[in-house]
Amino acid sequence: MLMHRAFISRRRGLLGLSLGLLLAFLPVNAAFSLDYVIKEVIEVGEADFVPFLGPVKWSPDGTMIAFTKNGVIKVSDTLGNIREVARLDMGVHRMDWVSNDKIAVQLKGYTGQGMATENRLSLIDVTTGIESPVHEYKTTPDYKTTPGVARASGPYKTVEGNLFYTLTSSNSRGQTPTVERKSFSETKLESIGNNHFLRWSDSGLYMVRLDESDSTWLVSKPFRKMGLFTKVSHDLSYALDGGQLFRLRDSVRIVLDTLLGPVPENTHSCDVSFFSFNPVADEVLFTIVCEGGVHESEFETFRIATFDCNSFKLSIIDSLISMSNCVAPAYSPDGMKIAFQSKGKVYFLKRSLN
Amino acid sequence: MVKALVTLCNIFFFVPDLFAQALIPTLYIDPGHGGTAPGYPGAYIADYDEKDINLEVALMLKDNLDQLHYTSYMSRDTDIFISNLNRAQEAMDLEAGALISIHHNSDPDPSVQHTLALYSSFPYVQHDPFLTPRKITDRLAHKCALRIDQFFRHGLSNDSPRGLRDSDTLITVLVRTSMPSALTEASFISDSTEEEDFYYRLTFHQEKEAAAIANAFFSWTLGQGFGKVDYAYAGQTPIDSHKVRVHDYLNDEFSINDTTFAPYLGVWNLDYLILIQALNFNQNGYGYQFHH
Repeated sequence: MLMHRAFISRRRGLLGLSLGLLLAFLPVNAAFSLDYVIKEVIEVGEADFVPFLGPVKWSPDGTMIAFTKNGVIKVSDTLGNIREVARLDMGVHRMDWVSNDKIAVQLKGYTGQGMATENRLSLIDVTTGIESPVHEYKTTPDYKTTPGVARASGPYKTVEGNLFYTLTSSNSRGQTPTVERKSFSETKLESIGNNHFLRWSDSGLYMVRLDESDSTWLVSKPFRKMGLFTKVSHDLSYALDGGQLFRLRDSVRIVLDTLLGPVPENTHSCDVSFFSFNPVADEVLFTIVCEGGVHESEFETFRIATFDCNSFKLSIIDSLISMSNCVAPAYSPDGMKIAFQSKGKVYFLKRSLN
Repeated sequence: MVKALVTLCNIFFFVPDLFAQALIPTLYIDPGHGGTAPGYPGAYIADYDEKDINLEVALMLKDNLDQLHYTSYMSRDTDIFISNLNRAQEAMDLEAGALISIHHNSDPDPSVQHTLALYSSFPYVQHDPFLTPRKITDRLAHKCALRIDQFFRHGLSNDSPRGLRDSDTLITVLVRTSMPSALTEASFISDSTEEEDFYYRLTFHQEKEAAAIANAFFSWTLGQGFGKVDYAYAGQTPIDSHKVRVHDYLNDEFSINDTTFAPYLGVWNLDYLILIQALNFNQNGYGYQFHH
């Protein structure tokens, strides 16, 4: 019993139901179940593992990935041919593909004077490496921005898969900052209102139009604390927040981090990170983060896994490909390939349908 | 005289509030451990572990900041396990201005008792030349250690400089974030007296620690001066002396270079908060205001 408790977080179902009871209510729906088989693993090359940048980024057509190494943005095709795109003068804070030939980056650098920073949101041409700034601002040593200059943040992805960024007005005394969401592509400005982002409120998860003119309720909120990285599946049938998978039509919840054993020796807890839905199937891809020890003896281990939402099949990929410490996986747009990192290198995992 | 002092105190009471509205340095509060990760167990009281104390202090710290209209976030506000990786990612995604992780210490020897704060000088993105300069981060940690010690009087750890330790690569929430960050180990809960003080709340330990960390954050945010005011001396200083003794930490490495006298405008003593603000502090060419 003690061992059982040790590896299960205290997350529980909406009604405090145990996982086993929840599973009993789940009918199998094979409509979107796809049976994948691992074909091969290809080593791409060295890359920084930067948690806040997230996994490597797939281009919209699935032919390239982008990642950073030593502050340099690089791309690779699916055969592992790497090319340097741009050397930047500041640290990359966020990054994603806007189109097959442009990458949006948020750059930030501390100047060394208090909390003074330089910040720039830019588009980088993947072919030429030319950087086109979209918005720039600075903060003073006490973290003020120049009056009238907005802060830019992004890129973020809408539920529909389009990129946008936010402009937050300078927060002067007594004023509530205003947030404006904008598209990187001028031609999409008119339609950006038809895109949505996800937001938790007291009554649950909502899909909100970017212009905040309308919203759709998706699922009840089971806990006070929810993560920032909630994702929904391609057909809006599931939502995923950390270790919690929600089936939206009936709010049934599966707690993924109750399925993670066996775990490394001396582990006290596990959590789920870097999670995403298969773009074409009801399958979840995530990193299992296990921690052990306390303070001076702390350690953490990573593994990556897939979970079929319909058949409840959990596959620990590390053990299937005889690798260890795999982390930060990302689906290709067709769901057939998975890019991930392990011990400072990027790999492709190619799959086929059984 | 008393009336003038009260008026002065009221003015200074609103100072942090005004600054709070003008600035946007948000704080990410991270109560360490949680859920199936209890941290250090308490000395004697069953089911009262480090994770519980961390959360109690963090909730009070959040409340302190809310009252002053500072925006702050919490990695957890209930007893659940969240990996340090996810905490670091969330803090970065929120673009928090600073991160403070709240922990408590333990030692096999129940008589060990001191205050410690940790920072990380390890550049996570190893070759990124634009990382948070170390001196910003270790000053936040050092202010936390100093303030907590002023409230608890347990003494600072013997690390050099006292009360401050470089965690290098050890602490995930410090290493995997780029904003200034600190991890506080306010006291040793292996000391049964200390654990009881937290558990029974008769000595307002949680309130003291939360106020100390809030005070450190305000000080770090508002002031560009880095010094330790000798509170014992300041508190006893007659109002007409117009002197506050200040130990100077302006130079790096936090060595006490000098004892400096600076004109002061008031002594603010509200509950557990002591704010001493000396204006026109100028030494060694540093011409900025000195806030504490």
